Amino acid sequence: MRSAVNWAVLGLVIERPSYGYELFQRLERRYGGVLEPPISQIYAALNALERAELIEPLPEEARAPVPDDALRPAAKRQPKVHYRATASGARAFRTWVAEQMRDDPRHVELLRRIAGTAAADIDRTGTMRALVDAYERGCLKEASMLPLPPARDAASPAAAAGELVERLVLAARRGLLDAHFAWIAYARKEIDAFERTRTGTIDEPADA
Amino acid sequence: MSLLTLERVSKRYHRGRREVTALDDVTLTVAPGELVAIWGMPRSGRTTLLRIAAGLEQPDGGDVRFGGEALLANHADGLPLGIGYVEVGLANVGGESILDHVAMPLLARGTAPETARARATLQLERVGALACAHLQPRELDPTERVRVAIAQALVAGPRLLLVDDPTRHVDLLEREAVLLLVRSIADGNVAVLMTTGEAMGVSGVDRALTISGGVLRAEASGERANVVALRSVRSGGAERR
Repeated sequence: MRSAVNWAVLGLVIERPSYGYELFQRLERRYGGVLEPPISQIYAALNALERAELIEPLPEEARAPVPDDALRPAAKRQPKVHYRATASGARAFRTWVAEQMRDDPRHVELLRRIAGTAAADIDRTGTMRALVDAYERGCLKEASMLPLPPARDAASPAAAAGELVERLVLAARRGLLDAHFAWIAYARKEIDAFERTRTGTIDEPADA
Repeated sequence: MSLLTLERVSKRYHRGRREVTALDDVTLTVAPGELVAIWGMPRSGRTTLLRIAAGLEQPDGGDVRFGGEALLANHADGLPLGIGYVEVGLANVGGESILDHVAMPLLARGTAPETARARATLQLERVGALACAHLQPRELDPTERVRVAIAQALVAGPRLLLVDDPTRHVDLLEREAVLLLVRSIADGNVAVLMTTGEAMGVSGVDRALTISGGVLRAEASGERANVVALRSVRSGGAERR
């Protein structure tokens, strides 16, 4: 399974059994700015996950009551299919997260583009600088869009657990960005050093 | 109108016979009440930029204006009126209490001691460090040091606060509280120009920039995330000489 949206939906279902529209809203809150699929893709993801037996429909009697269900007239109520993760879904998700942490695809993709473009370009360091600059702009945009974590003032244990998840997810995203920024600084120094070697100039780094 | 304007500012240092470029053609504005964060690694030029904005160092080239006036003309000794500078170090200064330490900028300007201490108390309360008032500087933990340094920088009622990497020595779980404090100061209509070395430092700011090799590289607005390149890609790092 290659779709990031499918994995994100699986992660949300593992956190709490849920249905299409609620998953769409949670995904928006959790991954806004990174993943923004239309709701149709959420339903497609649920179908794909169910076919792969990573999630399964939750029997109606096992569901927690949803407040808005109670307000609708019984005749008009459309039963929402709630899903929960299967044991193999939870295992698959853990494996996928571990792989993602080792192998951030954006880095790999960027390096591939650098290699591909630079090979065909006479102005190789100029091309590399342009890619590093573009990468930095993407990282800065993402970092400035991230909210500060929610305050630690939840009224209930369930809400506090939800906040803890939000805080950990935010920390993971910030940690990745810190790594990207460090890589950008390193890449620039490498490119500078490469150019100095070629032109034979001796220089001091900026200070302070 | 901009409160702070740096226009084509450059700064070089000499290390023996070698010349080190700290800032290279930096142009930057900060509007009243705006919170601007500059992300940069140590030795990127970020601290030099703040010190020049504070009038603590003079640029070799370019123009620095605060409230429309040339900053250098205002600079006698210490900071120009209207600017607060937060240095987190808070070196082990003398034996005075934190309250007197925070009141010091006012005492140095001839404010009556009782008035100065009353204002210092207010600022310690504002930054959540009132409990530190009667401690000695060496008794503070890193987070309290930041809070106290911010209180001292605020005590004379600045319109612009310059903050150098406020979360650098702060415990991981306390960093967001420091950043929320900085945010609340900007919400109180004091413009803030802050440096940071971590992604968290640019969360929730009005504008974020990056600096490396003494050059501002990219800029993003927090709400619109309108990201632009500040410098053509051909000029890599500080200009080579």
